[in-house]
Amino acid sequence: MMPLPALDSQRRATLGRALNLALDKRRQSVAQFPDWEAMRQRAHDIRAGAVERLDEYLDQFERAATANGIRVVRVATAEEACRYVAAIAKRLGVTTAVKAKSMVTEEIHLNHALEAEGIRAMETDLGEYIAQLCGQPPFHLTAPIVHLSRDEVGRILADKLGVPFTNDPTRLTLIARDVMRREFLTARLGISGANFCVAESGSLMLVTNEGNGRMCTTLPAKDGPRVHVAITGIEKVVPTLKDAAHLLRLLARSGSGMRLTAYTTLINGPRKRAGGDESTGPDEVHVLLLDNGRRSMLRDPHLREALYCIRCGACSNVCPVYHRAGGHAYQSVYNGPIGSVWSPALWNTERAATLPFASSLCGACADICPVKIDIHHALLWQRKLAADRGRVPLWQRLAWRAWRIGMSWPALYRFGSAAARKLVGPAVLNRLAKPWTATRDLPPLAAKTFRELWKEHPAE
Amino acid sequence: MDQYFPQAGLAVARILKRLGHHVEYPAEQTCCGQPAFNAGLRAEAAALAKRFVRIFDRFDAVVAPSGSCVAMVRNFYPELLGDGRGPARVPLAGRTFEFSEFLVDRLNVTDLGAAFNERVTYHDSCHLLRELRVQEQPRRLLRAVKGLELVELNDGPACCGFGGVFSVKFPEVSTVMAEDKVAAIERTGARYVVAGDGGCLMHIGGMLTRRGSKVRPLHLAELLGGVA
Repeated sequence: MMPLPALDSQRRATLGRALNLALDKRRQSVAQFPDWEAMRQRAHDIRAGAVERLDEYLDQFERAATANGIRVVRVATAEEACRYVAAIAKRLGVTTAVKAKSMVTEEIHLNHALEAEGIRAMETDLGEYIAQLCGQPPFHLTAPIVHLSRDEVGRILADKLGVPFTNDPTRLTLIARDVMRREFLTARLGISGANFCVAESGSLMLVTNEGNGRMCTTLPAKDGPRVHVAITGIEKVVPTLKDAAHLLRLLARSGSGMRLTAYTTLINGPRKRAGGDESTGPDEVHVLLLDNGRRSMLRDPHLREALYCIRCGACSNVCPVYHRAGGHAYQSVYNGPIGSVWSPALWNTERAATLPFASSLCGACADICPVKIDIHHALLWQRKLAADRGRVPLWQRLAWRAWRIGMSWPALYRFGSAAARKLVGPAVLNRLAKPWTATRDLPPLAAKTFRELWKEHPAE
Repeated sequence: MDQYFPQAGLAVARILKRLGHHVEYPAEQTCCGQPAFNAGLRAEAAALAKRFVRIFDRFDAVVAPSGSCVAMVRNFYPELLGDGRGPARVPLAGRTFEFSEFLVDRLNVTDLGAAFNERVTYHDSCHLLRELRVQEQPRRLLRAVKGLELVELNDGPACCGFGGVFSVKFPEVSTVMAEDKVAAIERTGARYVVAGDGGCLMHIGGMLTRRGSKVRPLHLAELLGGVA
């Protein structure tokens, strides 16, 4: 089992303040809906319906989107997706791409893949941009630098861009905006994810708070062809616009307490040429529908529900482990409770297999989830799969077997409890339980067990 | 309960007997299997689950002073004992109760005539709160205790960081969770922290004594049974 270190107390305080603020705002926001539970149930049903008939809706989306002039491509793996984007960049002859915030592009490590081909992918979500400047992955699904203070952000910008230090959020934003505007005005390749793919209309829905995502998908450059590539997971499809609208009502409220994000973009295809009525917008829109392990979750009834996730980040906000360890400790693109369900399905690594165990199973994640994913029960299932796949070491499996045998024979159990008291004693027990006793006391064993006391005075 | 909190078990038996019920303790019982289940080793857990059902199936009701054991039987046995195509039917799951919910929901008892002249805070164990949805029952029992002042924890309600093997496999995070829990307990000014689960009591208690706190952990049944 690989360790999950805790953040230092100062970092925990910075992170805790930000997460608790989001939780407080969520609470106030949700309190305005007496039928919030019914809204969650409806959201769950929408996602369940979409995932149950995924292929049908994917086909419908592909037909509708194609009719809108969008090129829809199914990609099985991260490599395939990266290759596709790199090929477009080469065809366009560009060396820079502007990017909207997208977890799927993090999942496939698109920036690294493009960099290897000589193409610079520039993050334009403010948080992602700052994370990129420090060479760090996003800390949180929706808030990439939630762990940093204003002062730290100011120092990063001063250090990386050579601007005078400031910790004023408005001025920091203006500094970043200055850099980005220059890129936006010349970029011919824009990359985004998608929050929802609407099957009935073939549209992509994108939510952002800064509007930069929209710059990446409209591409105002004057010269040369312009292309928008959206990369998203196959699970993001929803049947109707009405369904997407309902999910929107829960998405921002759950994650940050906002009623809606500042920008909700609906993309219905490339710039229309006929009649010349649209002067802005890309010449081509490509949608990559990525599998990359999602179908393995689809096939497993215990994991299928995890595909309902709409990436609001609420489960991380409320998770006591995430609060203490922070997003980077997971060492996985998808962190927090839902990330610990997803990671082992996407990556067959020791690290990913560890994550489902890094939970106290308190269940706060499942209670807050706007689409009612039974997150902590899915973690229990991932633990079972880890054991089935031999991720639990042999000595531990043998220890559990010995424990089970001891628990199956009352005489052995009684012998064990007597031995712990008379032969082993508290000093040795404390040493055996070192990971516990290093920081906490192990309460002493009762002088007599319940069964001994009961035997002495059964009629008490 | 058997090893660390025998007095809580005795208190449960005493209270149920006083309420006119016939109480038995099948001596061959050991563990419900939850630790192995949480470790992902379902075959080991299933062996103990079958044993549990065999031993307890003859009773009208099974009462345990431990939320997580009851959650294991009620919420997880059907899945654990299923044949892979779906959950098993486990009638015993519907007859297994956590101590406070049995008193309040089944027996309609809230006032046990106990007296306890102390300021007390109650820790919501995660399994009680979120698996069994037991939240009000222990509070109603506590409010009925003469002289007892119940002060609420203002922390979430947050997990204490025990989580079974989690506390040993991820000691750093688990420790910080316990430290925060203990800090919240001390802010209430209570003399006792009461809970309905042995795991939380061990963890919180172990952090309280390590920090030299004067607050004492106490099982709800012990408090109500008047032995504290």
